[in-house]
Amino acid sequence: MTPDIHPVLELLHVSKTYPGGSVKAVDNISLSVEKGAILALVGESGSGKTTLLRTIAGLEVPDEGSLILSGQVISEGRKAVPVHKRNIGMVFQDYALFPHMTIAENIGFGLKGMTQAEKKRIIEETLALTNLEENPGKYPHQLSGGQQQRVALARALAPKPEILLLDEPFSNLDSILHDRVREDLRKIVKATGITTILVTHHTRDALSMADQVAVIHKGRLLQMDAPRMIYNHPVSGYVANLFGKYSCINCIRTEGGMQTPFGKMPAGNTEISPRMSRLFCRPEHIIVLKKNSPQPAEGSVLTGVVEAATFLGDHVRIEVKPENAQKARLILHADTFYEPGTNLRFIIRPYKFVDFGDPEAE
Amino acid sequence: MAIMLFVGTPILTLLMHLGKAASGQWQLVAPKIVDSYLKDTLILLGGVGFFTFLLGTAAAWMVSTYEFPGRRYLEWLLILPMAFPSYMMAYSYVGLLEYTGPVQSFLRNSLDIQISGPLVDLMNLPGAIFIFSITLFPYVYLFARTSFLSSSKEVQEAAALLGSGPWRTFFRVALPMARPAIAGGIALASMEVLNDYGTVKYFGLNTFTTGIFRAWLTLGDLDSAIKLASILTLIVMLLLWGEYYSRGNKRWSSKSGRAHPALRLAQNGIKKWGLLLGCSLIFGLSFLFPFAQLVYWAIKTAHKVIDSSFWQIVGKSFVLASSSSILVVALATILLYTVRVSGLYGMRYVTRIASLGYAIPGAVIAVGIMAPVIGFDKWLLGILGHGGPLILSSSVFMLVFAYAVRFLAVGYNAIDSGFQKIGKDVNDASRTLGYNTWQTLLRVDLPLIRKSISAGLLLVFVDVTKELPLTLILRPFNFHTLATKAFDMATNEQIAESANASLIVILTGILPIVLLNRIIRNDA
Repeated sequence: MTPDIHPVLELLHVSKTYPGGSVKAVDNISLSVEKGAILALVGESGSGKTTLLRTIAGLEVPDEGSLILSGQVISEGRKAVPVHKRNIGMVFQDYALFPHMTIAENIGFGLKGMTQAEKKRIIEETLALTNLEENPGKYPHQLSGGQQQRVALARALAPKPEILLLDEPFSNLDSILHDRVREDLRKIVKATGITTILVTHHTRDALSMADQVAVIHKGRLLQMDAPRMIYNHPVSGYVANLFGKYSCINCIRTEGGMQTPFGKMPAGNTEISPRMSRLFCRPEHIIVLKKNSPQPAEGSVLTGVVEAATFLGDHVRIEVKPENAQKARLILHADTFYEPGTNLRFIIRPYKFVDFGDPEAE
Repeated sequence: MAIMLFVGTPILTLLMHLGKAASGQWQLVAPKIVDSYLKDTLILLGGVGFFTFLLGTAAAWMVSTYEFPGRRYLEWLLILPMAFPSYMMAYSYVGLLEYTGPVQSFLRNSLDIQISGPLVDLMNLPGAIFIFSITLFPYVYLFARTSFLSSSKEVQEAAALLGSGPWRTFFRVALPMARPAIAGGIALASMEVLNDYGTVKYFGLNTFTTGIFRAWLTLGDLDSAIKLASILTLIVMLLLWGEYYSRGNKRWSSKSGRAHPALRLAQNGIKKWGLLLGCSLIFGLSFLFPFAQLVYWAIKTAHKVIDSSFWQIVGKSFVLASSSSILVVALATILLYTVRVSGLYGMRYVTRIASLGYAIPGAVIAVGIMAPVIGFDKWLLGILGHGGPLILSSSVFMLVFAYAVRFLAVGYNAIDSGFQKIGKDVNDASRTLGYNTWQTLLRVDLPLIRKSISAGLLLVFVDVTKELPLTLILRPFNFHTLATKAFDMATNEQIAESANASLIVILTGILPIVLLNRIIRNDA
């Protein structure tokens, strides 16, 4: 596949307020999606992510802004190309299969202007792609939840849309099916090379499935980045907290780095702005050293005494008192429990200086 | 919008007339007439309200809380009186109680009790209250039963654990919880009373409906008819408002979706048979005895009545009812679908106004339609430039239009529930797959709501078949439906001969009840 420099879809300053609503459901969002990429829109319920998805589909008309699909303006201000002329596929949260049609009829529904033979060929191809060859004559209510979802996916894919939209694709599946369906979905989507946008509130799904993750909060786009970047380099406390636990240690700026209560941390090749006053790291980035283990090759060893520890399932929260400084709160993976009074030697790698704090400490 | 205008016109016409200055004739008679009409109407409403409440709530409580022999059957048999138009009930009861009727014959022949004249004089206000109460209590019964069954098992169990017996639970818990539903049922029954013409006319009572008829058909005074109709509209509005207000913030009855019906209390010995007797008595009085009387008459007079002209009337009735129901369902579907795809949330409230027609008495709608249509006809004649007869105002089209106005709500509710059930996503899905809104309606929405469409067609069909006052006012000269034929014969002292027409109307009305009951049972 030759890389395409033009994005398939571009959103420019899109805003949408529901009639009768006082706040903007979508507030001035601009973003673009590369061809063949999977973009996950992540946010809490009511964040506006589903509204944004429906706006892209054309099911909602934005109040302001424009949408460009493959170089064609499909929406500008209140003027919009109607849904049925957009060639965008969508899988609905509750699948929205047509209960009065068989599986094959559902999949063939969007295939227009072709011979019966052609239609039949595409239906068979799509059935094979989605692993549904067995019962094309069955009706939706005779299928399991996972199968119904695959039919919905097949139905959306059959007309070969330019973009595939998935609304909360995992919300109706039990947790056992969940991970397998996610893998299958990614495989199918990647096999077709179709550009995909999915909405989810499960951050794990977003991180594991998407090439790009966009975090939406109160209608605004907070950050859009690759999953690793979102996880390790969040732009705000909200984004950081959405994707998991973390520690934030107060710092003071010094020559060539930052002074933490535990010792000096070099800046490395990141630039420290005047507003940055904390060190951010995820639980797995705090590596506790065994008693007599040698000095590691890189990173400075930090020390302190455990004052309090709380076990919280997959992580522990400890308060550590360094010598000659105020105690700090750290979040660690829960592989060991640290009794109060334990002398702790640890390194932090990697880390990042940030300008936001620890929401739990505030 | 066009549909809204179409349906709203009669109601608006009346409201506009309320404010207009009155004609000389009207000023002369107004105070006296309105006073006596108002008195009879209000007594009737009060009496029927009280007795439908008593009968409906008692019957509903019995079948929903207790287990007794025959309960499964009585539960839906008690809905049947709904199929019995009250004027037909009135004829039947007068026949049952007259000198040659079965009750007096039995007393005379078996017990040797001689009574001169009718056993009980029914042809008065209390008699009318009795007739209305036994035909209209199913409205209260249905609403109350739904409420009793859906008020969750937990609530009743909690009451029992707190030491309250069945009676106390009824008065302190179940009844207050069912209050909004019962009020809704009484409001519907009251609207039926205000709509009625056949019964009050037959009994010689003076209500607003008979007043409208007298003003228009006897005196030819459209202005007075409109004035009376507007006052009646005002009463209906008050009723509607009262019903809405009484519901207000009391939506507690159906809060949790997973309410379990309470286990029915098994009764022993006398109590068990007492419950059976109570429910059977209500069913007997409100359906079985009068129905049997009609069947007896029908068989006795069949050779006289059933001829080709009778079948012609049956045919006309059914054609009229079918075409009206198709029109209503088509209008309702277009109206609701427009709201559905436009996503204009405000439209929902606007369309509610269109469904007001069902609350407005038929006579009022007739008058409200007549005024603008006659005006339109005169304008049309002016354009055509000849002095022929009025075109629209003497045709069946006006009748169908009037049915559409009156029964739009019936079709509207049926179709609305269909759309609600299938949700909006299937429609959205079809559009993302390349079909525009009207193609989507044909390929996805209509096939999915076909059951609701059939239900809507059937319900409107039955309502049109039963309809009397509107038909009497708006029908073309010498045009008869089964309902008007039955009414005509009964008022001309041919009660027995009217029974065949009545029976067909009642049997048509039973059809949806039986089908509905089957559907409910299948769902459960």
